[in-house]
Amino acid sequence: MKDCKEIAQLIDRSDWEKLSFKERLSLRMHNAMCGQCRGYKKYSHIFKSLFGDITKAQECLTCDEKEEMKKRMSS
Amino acid sequence: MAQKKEDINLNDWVDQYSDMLFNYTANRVNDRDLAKDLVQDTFFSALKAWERFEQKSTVKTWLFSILKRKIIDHWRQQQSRKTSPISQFTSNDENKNNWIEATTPYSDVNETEAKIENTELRGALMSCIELLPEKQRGIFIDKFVDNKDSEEICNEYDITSSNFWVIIHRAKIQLKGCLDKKWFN
Repeated sequence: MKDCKEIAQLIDRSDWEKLSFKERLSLRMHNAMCGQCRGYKKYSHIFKSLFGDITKAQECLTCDEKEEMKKRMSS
Repeated sequence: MAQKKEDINLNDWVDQYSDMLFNYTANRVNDRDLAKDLVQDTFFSALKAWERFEQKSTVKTWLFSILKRKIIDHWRQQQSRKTSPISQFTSNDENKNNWIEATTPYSDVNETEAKIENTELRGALMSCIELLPEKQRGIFIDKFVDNKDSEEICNEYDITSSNFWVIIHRAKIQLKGCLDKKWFN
């Protein structure tokens, strides 16, 4: 049986990569009994979704800012 | 045939690369003006060092490597001026972190997604990231903001996969503490 530390790592990884069948099974079994890890799993997914939106928000320079940069660099 | 320094037109670099460099920087420094300055400095440094550029990589890759060093320098300067380390927001004993489901900030991911539209939350999140130690911050941003492959990050920072996930986990815990304090409370 994995402890909470190992399960936390599985939870972190599961946000990014597919876990093996064995890992998914131990995660499920552990979470069935552990409220703290269930809470962390929930938090972890929410947290990742926050960043998903941040990366979608592309920051770009305006045309004026680009012109200003060109001017400053040529002077 | 290698391009000569005299033939380089900085205006072309601005047109071609400024948006991607700026986007990369803005996600890391959370300050538009500072991001602009860092991008501009990158162009200047690249021009200055052009003779040393062996052209084994593309100009874009080279510019990004210069920019990354500039961002790290900025973080270092900022770290030395910092008066409120992130430890202020975290418990001394990590085991005391409470992950009970009821205490998670939102019960619904959609609700959270709506909240992120609020630029204040983005600002709070970015300012919390700025409080992370340099290496942890770099790794965290590479993963969460740039969606880089874990293996690539491990190679870049010369760490093991297990170390990598421990760093990610610690960063998440620290950010939770910081966000609880700065945003949710």
